[in-house]
Amino acid sequence: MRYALQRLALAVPVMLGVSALTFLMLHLVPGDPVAAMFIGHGGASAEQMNEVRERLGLNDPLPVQYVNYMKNVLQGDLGRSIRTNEPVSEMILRNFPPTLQLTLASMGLAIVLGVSFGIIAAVKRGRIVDNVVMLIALAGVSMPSFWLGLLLISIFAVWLNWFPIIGGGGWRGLVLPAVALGFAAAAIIARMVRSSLLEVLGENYVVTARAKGLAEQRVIMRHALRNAAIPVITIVGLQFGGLLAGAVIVEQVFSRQGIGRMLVSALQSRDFPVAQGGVLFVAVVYVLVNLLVDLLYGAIDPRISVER
Amino acid sequence: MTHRPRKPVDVLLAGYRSGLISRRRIMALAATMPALAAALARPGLAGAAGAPHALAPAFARAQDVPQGGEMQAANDVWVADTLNQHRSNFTPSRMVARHVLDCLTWVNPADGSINPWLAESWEISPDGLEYTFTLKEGVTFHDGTPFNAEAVKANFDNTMEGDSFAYQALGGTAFSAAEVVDDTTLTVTFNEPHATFLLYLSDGGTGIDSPEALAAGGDDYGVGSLVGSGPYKFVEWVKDSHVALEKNPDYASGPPAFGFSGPTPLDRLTFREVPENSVRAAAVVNGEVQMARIIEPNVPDVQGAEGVEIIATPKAGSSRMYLMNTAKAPTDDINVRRAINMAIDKETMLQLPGWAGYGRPGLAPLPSNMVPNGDLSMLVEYDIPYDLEGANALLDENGWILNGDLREKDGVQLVLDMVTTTNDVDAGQIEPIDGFLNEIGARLNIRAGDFNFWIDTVQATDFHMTLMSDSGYIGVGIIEEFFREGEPFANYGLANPELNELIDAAVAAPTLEEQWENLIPAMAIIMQEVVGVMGWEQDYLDAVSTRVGGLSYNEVGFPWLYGTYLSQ
Repeated sequence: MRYALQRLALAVPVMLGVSALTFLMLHLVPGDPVAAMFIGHGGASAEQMNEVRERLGLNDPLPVQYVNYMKNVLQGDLGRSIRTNEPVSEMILRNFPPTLQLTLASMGLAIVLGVSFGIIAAVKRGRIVDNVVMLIALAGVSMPSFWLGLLLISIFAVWLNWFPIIGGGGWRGLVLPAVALGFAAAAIIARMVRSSLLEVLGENYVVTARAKGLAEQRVIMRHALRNAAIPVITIVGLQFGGLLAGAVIVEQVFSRQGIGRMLVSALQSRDFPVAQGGVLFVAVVYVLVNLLVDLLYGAIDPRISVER
Repeated sequence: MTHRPRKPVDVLLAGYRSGLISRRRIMALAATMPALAAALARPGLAGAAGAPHALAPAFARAQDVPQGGEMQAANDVWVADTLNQHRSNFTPSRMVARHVLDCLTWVNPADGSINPWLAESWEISPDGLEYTFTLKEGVTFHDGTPFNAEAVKANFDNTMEGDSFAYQALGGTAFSAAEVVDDTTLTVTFNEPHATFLLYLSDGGTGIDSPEALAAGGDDYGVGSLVGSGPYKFVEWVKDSHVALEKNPDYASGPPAFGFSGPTPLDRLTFREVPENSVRAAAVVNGEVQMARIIEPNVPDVQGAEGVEIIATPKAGSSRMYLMNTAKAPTDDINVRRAINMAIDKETMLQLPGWAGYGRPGLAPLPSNMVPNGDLSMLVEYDIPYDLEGANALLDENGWILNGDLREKDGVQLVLDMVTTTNDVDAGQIEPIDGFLNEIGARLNIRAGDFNFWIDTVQATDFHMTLMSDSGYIGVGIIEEFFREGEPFANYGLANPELNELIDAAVAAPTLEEQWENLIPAMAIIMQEVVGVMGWEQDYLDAVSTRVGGLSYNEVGFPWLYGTYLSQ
């Protein structure tokens, strides 16, 4: 418990760093949200545009804008969208469930596929099955999710017509986005499971288990896999963050609602409060997931104790 | 080799006669090109052409066509901000809203004429400062509120509290007041003439909302509710996903000139957001949506697909122009700008993958579908035709000496900063220009980013060349926006007092006729100054299922799906 609180306390400077970096980067990139809003009006005057900038506080010096922003954030107010005037917190709450659904589905798929194929490759080391699995894993790591998404759409939605193109609504709409997003994670997990398993399969306790006459399946699942799990869990935790980030692209390709699409749209229109709030939120989730992973170590391997 | 400029209409007619352009496409083009419609109506072509389908549904009663069903229309974004047109600044949002909100006037895209809709008639004072409207009786909003002069006044007053597109449409600071005379009579007064007022009143941005709903909705109006008197009722807007509308079974107030006024055949209409161009094209091929707005490079994705055709509609707005910074070397040299124009073969360009054969060679800042009678012939003399030899000779004469593959003068190389968006680069509409310029010893340094990078860099005048255009039905607004010195988006270094005076006179003109009397010479000056290459007259491209019938487009070139139906 003390460890968890310490880790949470450490998250505070991380969050401050994330907020400052996001704020700075967004404001340093060229782009004026008010100009983007008014182009095409044919008659919007410079004065009118300046009034809007003044009202939004965009004419203040950057440090003043940042301090004002942080004051509001510390009071739980992430501000309002420049484009829609909707509270950013409401936008996050509305967009997070579909992103979480997609991320969990991708994670589940990645774990099931990654662990299964990793075990098969380790057990069949050096054989053709191992080579095929590792080749698929290499392809998975190398393929951008954007490209894989378009490939899946071409084959399974346009050609075979098995799944809808436009994601959202029901499990059928979730399949292709989850595969597009989770495939690379599955490949990474498979490679990690294989190498971790190969490491422990040569350990004395595994030899002992086999010598005792235990079934190979029991040896792998009960003795070897559990001990090979620590690095795998670390990778899974890191992949969760990667999947959240990857959702930005996949949600765009499959026209799904979510935090990723919200962020892309906010960045394109320089909707600063939405982009800042969204990035901050993703950072919080990332930190919490990593904390959870650290706590899981102890549960899986009793030799790891934070109290010592 | 010298190309003689041909009128776009002649090019289209030649294409139609030779079979290169389909009947359906020529009809769609005619819907927004009055000159083409007139040419098609001439003896010898009328029989082949028939009535352009995009003007109005070819039926008078909805029951004459298949009833029911849901149609889905996909675009990258339909609503970026809000459906409340008193606050929105986004064109597609206005186009969606126009299915729910009826307007006071209706502009016929075929001839640009202004016709009655919720306003049965109007009178304009001789000084152009007062408009008196007689409103239609017996119309009710979807919530039962009656439509009357009070409702229109409430709408106009609400608009003037914001800084939306509609605020500009009502004249901005030129707007003085809306006064109710009686239930069906309203006067609107201006501080200075606003000649495009009646045109703007046809836009979804000035559609009339139920005043009760507008007041009750507060900040949620345009998000959780939208109440008009139009052919469709608002069901829901799920942000980043779709806007769902349903049939208004009691509708009876379609614009008389449209030729159909009853309830629309469709039960449900959904505007779906699909941000990726290629995915949108795929969605219409596999039948998930029945219409998808696409861009030129995605044409091959849908060409030849069973049950899908491409409808090209001339875009309302400016031509797509490669504008140049006339205040920054080397494009401050008019001979360089002229040579660049001479180096670009627009007809060949339009056949390249980035254009896929769509669009017409550009002539002036406003395309032919934006000017009265589609007639730009008075500006042809200012066109700079393709002449590669002439371009090289011009640069030679002016001291731009070829050194290897690149020309230079006084130590300055003929390398131009092309500031643009990654979308335009991906669309294949930038690199071919570099190819043309290589032929005269010039090169583009392409600097591409997102929309905001592009606007910001152009506003900072840190460029030599940029691909620029805008959409909208009001030509004077576009010319003012890009070419009136001092305007926030006029970033091309033009400082011509005569041009400024002409634009100001066009803006202040009390009538549309007088406005054009000033706008045409203003465009002539812009062309004489060689501010850029008037690239091409763009088409909006829609991939449409052949199940869709009764398709029509509004004056902005966006689909207006009133009277549209789905066959089985």
